[in-house]
Amino acid sequence: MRSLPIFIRRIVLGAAALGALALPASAHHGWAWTQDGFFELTGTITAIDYGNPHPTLDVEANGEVWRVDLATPRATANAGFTEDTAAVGDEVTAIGNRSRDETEKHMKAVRIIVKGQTYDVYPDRVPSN
Amino acid sequence: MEFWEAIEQLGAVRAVKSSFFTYPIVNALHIMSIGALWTSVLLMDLRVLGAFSSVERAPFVRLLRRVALAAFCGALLTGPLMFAIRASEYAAMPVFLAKMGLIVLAGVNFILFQRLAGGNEKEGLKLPAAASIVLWTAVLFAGRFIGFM
Repeated sequence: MRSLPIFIRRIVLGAAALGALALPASAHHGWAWTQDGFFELTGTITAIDYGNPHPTLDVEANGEVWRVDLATPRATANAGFTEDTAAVGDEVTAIGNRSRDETEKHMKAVRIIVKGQTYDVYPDRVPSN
Repeated sequence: MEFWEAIEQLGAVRAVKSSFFTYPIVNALHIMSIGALWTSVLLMDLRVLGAFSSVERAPFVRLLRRVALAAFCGALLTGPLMFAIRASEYAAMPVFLAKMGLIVLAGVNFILFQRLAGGNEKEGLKLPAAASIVLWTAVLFAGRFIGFM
């Protein structure tokens, strides 16, 4: 038992070091990785990946391809946006929060608009208007 | 890259990907396995390090090793299925690769421990036992960070 605190300290240090390494990067879970203000992206859908853990859209705007994360599959479907709602080539407007790392073309949408229809995938986070 | 994309297209993988229930269930079973693995490894290693000295060492370690190996098998059945859903993305993530590297290190450490345990020298087991706690804890943290990267 005498030597235990040293080992426990090592575990905590190891875990903390790992956490510190991982922190600057962006995240899919939660909103900590995104900017606070809303961001709006309009472009053409180049790929739809509908499924766990999060459906994503690839959206081309001004010659750049953005990755747009949606909510969980169930929440996204509950918002009315299903696998068949949009197709590659459709124009989409995504409103949400972009990555704090602006070199990264990556955002998490709270609302998407396709063919004049609005889908609030995070209804409690959409901008008030 | 094409290899990972081919894995993503497998029927069973696509089924889990599009499921409402299977994915969270697989996810929960993975967490359950990792939790059982981490706890059994921790208790076993602490015993080797000299804790819980009122409990007889050999049967305690033997039992927990069995639990740890079963839990590892559970993690091995569920983890790759979640990986496969977005295999090409995860395979390119440093934190995912770190987790795999840590598992390999933990495996090598386990083999080393088993070799040393064959001898009479019990003091020499303390280093791999301590390394085991650090490595499996790091595996758990790296694994959780995959979802946040």
